[in-house]
Amino acid sequence: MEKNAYSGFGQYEISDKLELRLPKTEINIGIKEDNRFSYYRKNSEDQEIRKSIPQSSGKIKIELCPILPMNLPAKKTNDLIFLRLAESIFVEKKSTVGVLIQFPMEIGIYIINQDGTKDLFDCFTCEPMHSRFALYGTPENGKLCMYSKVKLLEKNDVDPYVFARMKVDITNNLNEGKLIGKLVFPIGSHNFYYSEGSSEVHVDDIEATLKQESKTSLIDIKRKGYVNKGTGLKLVSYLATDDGIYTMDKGFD
Amino acid sequence: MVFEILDTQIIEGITIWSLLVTGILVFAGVIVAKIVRMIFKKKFAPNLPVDTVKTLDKLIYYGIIIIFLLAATASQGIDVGGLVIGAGFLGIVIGFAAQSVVSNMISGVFMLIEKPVRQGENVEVVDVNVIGRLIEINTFSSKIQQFDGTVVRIPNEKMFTSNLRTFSLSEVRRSEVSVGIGYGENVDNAIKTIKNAIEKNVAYSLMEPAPDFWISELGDNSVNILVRVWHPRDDLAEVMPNLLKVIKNALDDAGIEIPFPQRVVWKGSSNE
Repeated sequence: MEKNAYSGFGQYEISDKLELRLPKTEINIGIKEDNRFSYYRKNSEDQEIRKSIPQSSGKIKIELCPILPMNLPAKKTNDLIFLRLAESIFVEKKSTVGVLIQFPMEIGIYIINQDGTKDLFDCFTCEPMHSRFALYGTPENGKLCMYSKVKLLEKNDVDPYVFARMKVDITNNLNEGKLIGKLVFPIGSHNFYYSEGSSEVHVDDIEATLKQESKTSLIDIKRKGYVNKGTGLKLVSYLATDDGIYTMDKGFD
Repeated sequence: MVFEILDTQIIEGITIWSLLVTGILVFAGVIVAKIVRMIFKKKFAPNLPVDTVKTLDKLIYYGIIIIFLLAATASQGIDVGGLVIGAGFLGIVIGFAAQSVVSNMISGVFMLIEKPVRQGENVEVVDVNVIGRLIEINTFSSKIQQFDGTVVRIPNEKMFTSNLRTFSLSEVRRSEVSVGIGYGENVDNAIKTIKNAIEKNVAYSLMEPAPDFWISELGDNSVNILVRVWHPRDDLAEVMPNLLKVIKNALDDAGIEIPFPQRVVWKGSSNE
């Protein structure tokens, strides 16, 4: 199926039936005689998921949108993500560089209630290889993280339904150049931004600062709101958990 | 008539009336203890670990009842000194008679204080060869639910004095399986095939540290490869049942032989 034949992110009102087509994924929602909506999803591994939505009003409203990659295969990390860069980035001493990278996403289907509140009804990924775990640190004291191997992006690159775009500003305050091969940080307070009907997604950016502490090189990582977030984009936000600075103190090569 | 009965002394200084008042106060103590316990469970318990909640719950409940009992006896002029001395003697007698019971009880208290393992965590009690999830530490025994669903009750003394192997200090653990390939196969190719298959099909296997591979033995019939996989510590059941299946399928698909034991039998001719 061609990329532009896929369904766009956004809100859908269903009174009869709806078919959503996404990479490696098919979703069908339809009303049954007993006023119940049946939900059917088939993924790339031919697994079938069936759910039911009893509804007296005869119609439902859903939102198909990107969500944080924290739920699959199971929610068990402390909101940490481990991005392994396919190409390490060299940052010269006392300099700042900005790069665009891929940021993995899961896709959520929210039911929009009468009062406008939303409940997550289903979530899935169009590329299971980006729903994996990794350990940041040693087995004795490391932290379990969600894991994805990501590439640097050119300006017009998009990876619909699998990756969002994230800008990373890296400042090297050290007296020597450094190679950065991975980025680890909490994502609980990151927001996604998408334009309705499209598949292009951006996520909040990050600022990474290399510094020296007790003869060890560390990276401080801080979330930074997406620059163009006010330009008619829809926001998918979550309960902010921790918006402070996260320190990568177990290496970054 | 009724007052006379109530004033009747059972033993010196203790009347039926004083016993009745004591009983009413202790009953009130039980009610107060239940109310305090309910408030504790609603207000404070949700923010505390499960085992701490259970310990504090018991302490609060029985502590309040004992305080009421002591207050009641004191208010009625009942001398508990004699009872305490009596209890002391009784304690010695019971101590000798029920040494293991007391030992189990004290071990349980120490386990709650030291917390070598917390309720809900996976543990192996090495000395009795029991592996499972610790579901409860009671007064005299602890209960471990094994992975087949059965529950093993272990006396607290045995649990406390045994070597415990826990998995809770690290967020991950490692599991391993061994697989043999034919002597004619390319080992590097086989390892690459297995690694790709694990990364693709075993979702709970960590990508970093990646699975690693050792040639563990040049066996009689096969080159044996030890496959070691890291995964989240509680997800053994998600990884192990799949691992050998994934490896077998991958080697089959790649046309790599998994040999079985063979014996060559030479039959002598009738002339020899």
